[in-house]
Amino acid sequence: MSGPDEELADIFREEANGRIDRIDAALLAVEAGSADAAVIDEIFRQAHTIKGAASLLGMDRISRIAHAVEDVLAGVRDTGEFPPALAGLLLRSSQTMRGLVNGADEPADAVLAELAATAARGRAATERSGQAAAGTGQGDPVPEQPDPVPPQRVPHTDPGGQPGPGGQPGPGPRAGTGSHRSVRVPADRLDHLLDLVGEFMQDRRHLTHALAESGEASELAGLLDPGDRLLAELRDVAVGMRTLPVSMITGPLPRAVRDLARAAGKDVEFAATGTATELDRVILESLTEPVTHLLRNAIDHGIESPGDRLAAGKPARGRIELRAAPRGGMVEVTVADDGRGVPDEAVSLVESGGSLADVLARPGFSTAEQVTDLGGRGVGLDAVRAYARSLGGGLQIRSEPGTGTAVSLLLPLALALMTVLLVEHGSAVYGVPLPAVAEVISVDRLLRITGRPAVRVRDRVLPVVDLGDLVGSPAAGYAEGGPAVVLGGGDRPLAVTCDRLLGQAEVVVKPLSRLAGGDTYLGGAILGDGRIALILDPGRLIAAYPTVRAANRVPVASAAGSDRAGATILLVEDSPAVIAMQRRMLREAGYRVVTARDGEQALEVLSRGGITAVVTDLQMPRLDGLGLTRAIRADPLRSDLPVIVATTHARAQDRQVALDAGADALLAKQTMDARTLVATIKQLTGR
Amino acid sequence: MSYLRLRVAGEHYAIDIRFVREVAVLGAVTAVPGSSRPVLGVCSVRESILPVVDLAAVFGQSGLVRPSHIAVIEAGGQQAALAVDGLESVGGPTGPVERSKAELLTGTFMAGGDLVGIVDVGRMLDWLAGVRR
Repeated sequence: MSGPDEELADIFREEANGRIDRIDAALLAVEAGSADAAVIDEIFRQAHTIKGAASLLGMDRISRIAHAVEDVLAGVRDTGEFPPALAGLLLRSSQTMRGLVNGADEPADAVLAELAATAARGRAATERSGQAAAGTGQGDPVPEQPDPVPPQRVPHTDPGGQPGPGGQPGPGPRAGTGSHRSVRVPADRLDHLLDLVGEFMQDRRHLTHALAESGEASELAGLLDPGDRLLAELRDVAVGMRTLPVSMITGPLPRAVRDLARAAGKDVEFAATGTATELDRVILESLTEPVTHLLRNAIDHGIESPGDRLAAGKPARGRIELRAAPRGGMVEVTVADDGRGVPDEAVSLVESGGSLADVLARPGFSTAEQVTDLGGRGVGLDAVRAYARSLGGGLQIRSEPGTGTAVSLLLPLALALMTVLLVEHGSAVYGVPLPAVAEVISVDRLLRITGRPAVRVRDRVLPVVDLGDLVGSPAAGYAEGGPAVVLGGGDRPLAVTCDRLLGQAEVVVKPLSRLAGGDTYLGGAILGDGRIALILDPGRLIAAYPTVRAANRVPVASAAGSDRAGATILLVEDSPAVIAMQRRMLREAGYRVVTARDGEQALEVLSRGGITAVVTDLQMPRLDGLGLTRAIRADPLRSDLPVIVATTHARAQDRQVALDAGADALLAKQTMDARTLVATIKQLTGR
Repeated sequence: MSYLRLRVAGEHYAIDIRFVREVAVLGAVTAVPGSSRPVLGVCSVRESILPVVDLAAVFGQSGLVRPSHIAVIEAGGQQAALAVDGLESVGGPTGPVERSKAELLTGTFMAGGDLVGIVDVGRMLDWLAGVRR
């Protein structure tokens, strides 16, 4: 069990990695020649948010680097010039931050010194406004080499912006509005649209079901056909809007492969195919990490050294391919290499039972003869598989000794729509995500070993558990001759018995409240006959199996009451790590906490009432903290609502701006602790 | 301030109508193994799946009669369907509101000889999230 601090660190790690990905993508865009103001702003914004969250968590080196990156970019903004060498420095900085974020003990001093020197040059260049930034400061630790490549100019995209330095006017607005017109739509509106389409489909299913019951199906069903076709098309269009091409995340991969291969002393060419294949954007956003892991595995464990390859009659240069392809309602993302394949040891383990994925994903299994610093080991593959399963997908590995290995992630096309196998247990219906179902068997003869039932399937013996026992339902257990679903086919395949199989269905998965199964099931789905199917989380079931009999918990009373009953604090912040931290401080002090990701969402929450005070960040998408504060002050119903601004801006003029906007108090995130925060709220609210 | 008044296991409770989204007849409830004890299961309301809270169990009553109606409430971004024996009326407090020592009540008032408890909705939802089987 991880403690709250570890949990917080996890949230931060996930968030910071995502932000560093975006910084890298932006920097690669700059390297590719598109250093416009929007790209610089993106890097600036991501660095700024990392700085805030890192300083709050006391991760000093990360926040210092992020701060230094901001300083350097401030110079770029001022001079409007992006020296070509800078992208390299910033990439190194982001790499250092990533190492630190992921727990490595990266030395930060060299990068910090370089950043400081570059920022100083930027400032000097600004002061000599108009002159070329050629010289370097004295005692500069960076060996400055004459740069044959002219610096890129950073065009200001803001139409009201200043012209570039040196009296040169910035380029005019781009005339790129041809046939590729597009509209920016907030993602949550698209999600809502898909929800509505899903509900409409469900409604249709109810109708079809009712017609079938009434016996008038044949005549009326014909009338429904055209509508059903339109609806299916509408569904495809809606899903299509929520999906993005895999190419969105493959940009940085060639560089990553090159760096990793170089570090491993290998020569690798990389190709990505099928990157126009689309995936749910939520899945896509989380895909970089597992894919990078698979690439590392391929480089470390798959591709041989150039010498070995030549000796084996292969080209010295290895090849790694990322392939994305639709497969039924799912998308298969494969990382394939032309390396040595998995060792005989693994193959013989497979022959004795289990799939290749089971053997290789077994914690501690490694095919590397030497563990390198990039070491993707068995535990990593296990994590990749857990990731795929958590999305209702799966992992497959194919390998040919001597010719290569292909690892495939099977992912759902859209999170909201899932294909499940419906099973009945007692009076309840459960849905098992189809990719997790290895096979369906009939338990004809129950065996027993160490007090637990088992069943023989071909040449393997699988543990058997009743679905009711697994989820803690009091309904009666299994009987011989009944059906069982074999889950995972994994290293711990499990035959789960139920009363009846109802068949396969495409369902709209809706979240369950944490009051009722929200942390046990993937969600619930409303079936055609109005019943609710609980969608099982296969990974969780498999993990729960060993503890099935131990589940006998005593009711626990709620947390002790406190004197802050009814005081609800609205936290407005776009960094999940900062939210987690502040929420913990407030909850421990006895406050109820609701959160919003930006000012717009905060106003929505406020309109529902019940908020005692607001704690808001300044920099946020859509509506920022100042805008939110002004909106609250301008609302006659809420103009006296206490507003506390939590900021990483230390500058005096920023403080004044916030106070002028109507903030009641300003707290610096870097030094904010529970006592200060609670004391401030108490002072302002009396609670 | 207006309240929706409810009847639960022979007792009377009131909920600030600002928290009330709708009321309906209690339909089919799907049991959810593993949820906290006062949660009967889930039901579908307008294509959402909501937890059904047995209000009688929340207030320590055994709830011999099957609840007949639900009041859908929302607080702190969470929705829940409160299962009750009957819906009574909507209106202001019929007497002076007195403080209550009960943990999940903000106060009480008298209505025609009955004592009515005002439910602290947000607190109750938090409490439910903390209660285990």
